[in-house]
Amino acid sequence: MALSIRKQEKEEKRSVGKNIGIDLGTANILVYVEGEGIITNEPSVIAFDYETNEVIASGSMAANMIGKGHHGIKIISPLNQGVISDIEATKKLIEISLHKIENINIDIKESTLLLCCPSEVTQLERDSFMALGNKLGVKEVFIEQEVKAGAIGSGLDIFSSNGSMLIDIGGGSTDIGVLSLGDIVVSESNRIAGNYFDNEIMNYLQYKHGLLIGKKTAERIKMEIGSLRKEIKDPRETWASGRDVVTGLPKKITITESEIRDVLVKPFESISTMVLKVLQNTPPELSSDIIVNGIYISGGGALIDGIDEFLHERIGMDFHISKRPLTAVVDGTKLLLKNRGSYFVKPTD
Amino acid sequence: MGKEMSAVIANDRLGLGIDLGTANLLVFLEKKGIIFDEPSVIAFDRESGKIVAAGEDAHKMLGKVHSKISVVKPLRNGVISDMRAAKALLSYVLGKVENLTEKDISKTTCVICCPSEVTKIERDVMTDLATKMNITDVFIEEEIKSGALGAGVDIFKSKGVMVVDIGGGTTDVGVISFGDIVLSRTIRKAGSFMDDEISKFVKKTQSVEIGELTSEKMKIELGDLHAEAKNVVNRYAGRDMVKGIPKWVMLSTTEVQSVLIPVFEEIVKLIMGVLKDTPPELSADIYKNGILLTGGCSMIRGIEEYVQKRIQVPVKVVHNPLTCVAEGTKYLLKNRGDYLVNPLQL
Repeated sequence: MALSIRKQEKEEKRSVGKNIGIDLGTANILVYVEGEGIITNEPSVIAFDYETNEVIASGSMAANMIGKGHHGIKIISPLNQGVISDIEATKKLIEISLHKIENINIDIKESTLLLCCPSEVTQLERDSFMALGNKLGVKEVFIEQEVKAGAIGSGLDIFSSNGSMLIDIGGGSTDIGVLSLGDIVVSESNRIAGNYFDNEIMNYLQYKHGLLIGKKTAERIKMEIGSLRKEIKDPRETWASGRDVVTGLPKKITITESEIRDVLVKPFESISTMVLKVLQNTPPELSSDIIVNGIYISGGGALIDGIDEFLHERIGMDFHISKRPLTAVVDGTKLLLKNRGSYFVKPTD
Repeated sequence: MGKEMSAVIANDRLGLGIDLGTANLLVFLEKKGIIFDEPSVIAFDRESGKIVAAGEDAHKMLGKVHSKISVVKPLRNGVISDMRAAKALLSYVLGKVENLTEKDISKTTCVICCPSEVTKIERDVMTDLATKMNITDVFIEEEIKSGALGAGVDIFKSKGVMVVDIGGGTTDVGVISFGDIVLSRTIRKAGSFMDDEISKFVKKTQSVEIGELTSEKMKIELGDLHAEAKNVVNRYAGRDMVKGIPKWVMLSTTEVQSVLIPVFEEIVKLIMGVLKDTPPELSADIYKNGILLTGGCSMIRGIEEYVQKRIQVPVKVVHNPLTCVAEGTKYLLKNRGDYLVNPLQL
């Protein structure tokens, strides 16, 4: 029914091609449309009906269903570890996002589409992004690395010869890049990111407290009391409820900040090792820029309390958290759409 | 004698003087003056071969580029090492001049300056460069000669003049009299060599790797040859060789001096060598008039005092050490390097 209403609207709206930037993250999908701003900022989750294959819900509505659906509903996260795992579902998700704008109807076939991907994906994975663009019927698709977009979105001037460094901790992948003169000089990417932290929290609760919890609860715990501070001043705590492994009965327990801190320290150790690896491969002239400018952190992971302190202690540089860590990448697409990702053209001019 | 000269004027050929140095490129164009005075560095897009930046902008890119750009220094040790880049750089510079068509360029009379002791092949490469730009009328002159002229010294008298040009790639020592070089010597140790030595020193003593731009900055900021130089300590950044992370380095004037002195010692030795071979009549002139220092490295503080103390001959840095060679081409274009014609009197 919802679809038929949309169809009616379609005829009333005028159809235009637009510049569209999409940050297709494992955790969240953000869509920027030229002249409209960021139109979608929601979890990249979509729910289908098993039998009819019709879309029941998408975004946060679908995310709320995670771990709660019955056999009639199929809940899909179309991206896994930073790359597309279900291309049909991804396509649906983007289409739904684009239909959200009132007044105008975006003719996606006439639009220019910019998709952001992790910096170290294989050619096959890259091709799948291209294939997605083609499936949507877009004539012009181009793919840019998330670090690049993230750095621009964090307000770094990557088009000057002054080197900058960004750590983007997203849902599915953590990307680290050194940028100068409009492109990436050194980059590194791995799949230790938001979802991985959630899994670690789930594992911890299962083994330490004998409690099985869902992904959503794990994520909530991370967001509420996730911390990396060495000395926690006034410890926060939260509750976690799930199923007892032994008795099989529902159970609710209290978890403290320091527990979660100990869980998170390990994956962040490997992120700091990765930062070191990138720094080791950085040409000395850029190293000297980085020591002056510091390193910026964006992505959802940047919101974990004390992350800058933690990394500063391990590595010794200055770490800054980008102003809008969650929308940095999509903000960056705004500018990249103007110069089409060419490092020659400074989009701000 | 006047025939050739008048021909030049009658043809209304524009004169073009090029000081193609390892560190800096200076271009002098008649009626316009010096039109370009920037580092001889050029950056290309690897894929399309297009020029991304040249001169100052490209210099800033050294050691900082991603894989899509290649930054090239077309000269090494005073001679052309990358012909394509040298041509591109020169075309770029001339292309920026207003109202100068390609036809005008091909009609210019061009003088290119080179170090005095380069091989015939290396000289031919310089001529080739002009030929590639479709300039048919080209001649090569020595940098020291042009430098002395540019500094306002009348080299056409029967008076010996000694010029020491410490540039980016080469140090050139020559004795000039009657409008031409009597004897000269060149070593390929100059500014860039000092930068390398400084970066090696920092690597050895503090195990920090630094880039080209930083070591050049160290030389400019801390280079001081005064015997009792005020000790200044500055902070620079590089990459720790052990841990790989960026690190601050503290470097003092004394340390830089200890690196620079062996290099200048060699330059002094070279000057002494030339002085030893100078005909005695000219030696007397040099003793009276002193030695002229030109080139970028003569801007290092205390160099006059240092060389003077070692050689016991008065030493003077010219008033325009960086631009004198290009300015001198103005005169060389008038007499085409002919020692019989004194362009200062034309």
